[in-house]
Amino acid sequence: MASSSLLPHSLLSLPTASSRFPKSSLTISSISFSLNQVSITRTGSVAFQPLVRRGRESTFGIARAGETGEETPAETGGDESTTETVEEESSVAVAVEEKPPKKPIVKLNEIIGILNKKAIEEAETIKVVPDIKPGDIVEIKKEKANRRRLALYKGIVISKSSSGVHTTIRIRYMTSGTAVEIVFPVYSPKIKEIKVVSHRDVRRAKLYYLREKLPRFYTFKKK
Amino acid sequence: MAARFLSKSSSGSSLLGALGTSLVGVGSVARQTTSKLTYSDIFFQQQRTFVQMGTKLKVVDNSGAKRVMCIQALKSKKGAKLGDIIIGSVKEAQPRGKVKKGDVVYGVVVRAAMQRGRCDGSHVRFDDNAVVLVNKQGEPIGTRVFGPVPHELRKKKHVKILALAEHIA
Repeated sequence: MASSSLLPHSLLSLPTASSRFPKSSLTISSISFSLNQVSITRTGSVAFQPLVRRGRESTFGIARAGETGEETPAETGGDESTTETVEEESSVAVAVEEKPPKKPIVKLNEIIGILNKKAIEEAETIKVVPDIKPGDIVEIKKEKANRRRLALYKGIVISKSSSGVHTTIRIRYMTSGTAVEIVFPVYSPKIKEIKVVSHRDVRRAKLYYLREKLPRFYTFKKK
Repeated sequence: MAARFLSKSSSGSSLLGALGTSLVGVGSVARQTTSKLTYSDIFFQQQRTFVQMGTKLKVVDNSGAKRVMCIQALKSKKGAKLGDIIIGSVKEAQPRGKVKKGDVVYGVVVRAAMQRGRCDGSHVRFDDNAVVLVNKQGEPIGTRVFGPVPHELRKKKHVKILALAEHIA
């Protein structure tokens, strides 16, 4: 058994992308981290311990007892020399029978991001959403409630609020002597087409100052 | 004249319980002036709220009235939104019209500075508050409507106003 005097800090050095499988019974078979304490168990035989999650790695593989044998010749040599760095022992030897590799664990804080991505992919099939920035002059074709002709809105984007699938843009335009501001959810299925017609150079992300300006800055002729 | 810096008020959460406009005393600003926005203007933020008692609205039909002051918003304790009916008192009227000054009339709010959410997730707001005078049955008194009107009127069964409108926002 390779004994290595382990220093506390060395335990925290994680290997890079490749996940290593622990050796069968040559070295420390498992290290479990709990808060700040580190407990090391050395076992001669294969032991089962709960899986420890890491912040960096998103995929884990459960070590197979059978596979470790192939890796050991290469790794033991390296391990003897580098007693300081400890292999990542989070993937643990399991019981004797082989299990299929576990699917990647989805962390709770990633779920919303994944759902949003899925929803955006679904919405992209209806129309392609271009990259919109404040200052763009944009034409939007939207389906009305009674589903007849498509309504056409042409105005300047004065703000964009990004939040996944409910990304909204606020369009300001002038009709018949009155200014109108409409907030459109960009990935809505009711919006059939968004087209960036032109762009105006602005030095702001939110162009609320246009409300105080002359109407000619937000008046656009349709066609 | 300080320029009013309008804050984008999210419909709902920021207006809960705020019945009056939280405005530091600033005189009314002509819409068309281009004034330089100074640092002090940021403090003159205005929350757009409901059309309630005392709100002066523009009349956008040819019924003869010019300005109307809301004396009661039917249907809601907080106030009227886009598409609601209000009772108003005519404050200013053209000399020969169907209504004269001092009349108590019903009106449909066709443009509101407070944004109104639609069921598809979009919001709409106009730059002024405007009303179309109707009778008790909901039919417009005038024969023309000026300016854009919103879709919301269809759901509220003000179909005649929609038919007369120049532009449906």
